[in-house]
Amino acid sequence: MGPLRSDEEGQVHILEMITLFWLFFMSAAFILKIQIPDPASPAADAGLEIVARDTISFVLSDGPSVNQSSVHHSLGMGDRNAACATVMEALPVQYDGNCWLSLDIEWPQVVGNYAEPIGRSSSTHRLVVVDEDVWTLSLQVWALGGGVS
Amino acid sequence: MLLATGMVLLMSLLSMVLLSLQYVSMGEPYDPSPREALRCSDEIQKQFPHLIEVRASELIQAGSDERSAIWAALNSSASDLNHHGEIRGIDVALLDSTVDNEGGAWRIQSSLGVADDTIRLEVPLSIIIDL
Repeated sequence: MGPLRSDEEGQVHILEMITLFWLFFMSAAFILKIQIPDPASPAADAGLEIVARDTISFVLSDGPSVNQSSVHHSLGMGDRNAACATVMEALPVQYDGNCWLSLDIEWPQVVGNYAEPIGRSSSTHRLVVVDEDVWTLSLQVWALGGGVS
Repeated sequence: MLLATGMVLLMSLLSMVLLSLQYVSMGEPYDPSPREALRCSDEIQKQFPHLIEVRASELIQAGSDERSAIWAALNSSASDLNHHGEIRGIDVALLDSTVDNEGGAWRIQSSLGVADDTIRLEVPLSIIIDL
């Protein structure tokens, strides 16, 4: 009887270990978040993609001539916040998004406060050359109110 | 007891698989749109001459000779454009570049290669800059 009881207690500890491991993993999964703007997908919502693309095209062409928009000017000054603020202001009110910037061989970094997408989002990327700098402007957008899920 | 242990183990493994798939975005199609390669190629063709000219000029002002400056501008631009392509999910490369002096002006020829899973483009680039 003694050895049998000892085995049963061992099983309980294994069960506890696995349960605790599961709880730790689930807790970590909610805390750790990986922020990456995905490439445009063929399955993405076309409406979202068009909004993102139009917004970038609008802000990059909104200047006295080619390559003289306020975004070009801000990026030329190295002012990422101003550049992304211009992009976000041009986004239609029924959409929200995140603006990402990457200079030369940097990986994209979100500018301003990162907002968690509601429902499905779509990301659009654009090459912006300002003087000798190669910028990658990325805009991740989603519809407010849930969008398409 | 063994059944309960098995159930907990199964649930934990299932949770890990689902969350991992969700985090690496493999639950949704990940391939970039075929149009993305066309758009990227167009954007690079429009901005490439200005980029090379400005970078080469900066290097010449810093003391490099013209040929070295153009090659350095080409190589650094190729690296940056390749990285830009990585962000967009496509491959971008400058292939078979040549630099020749023609009566004081510099002719730069290269092939712009843009490719993804479904499309492969090779566009000739030819620019003349007078530094």
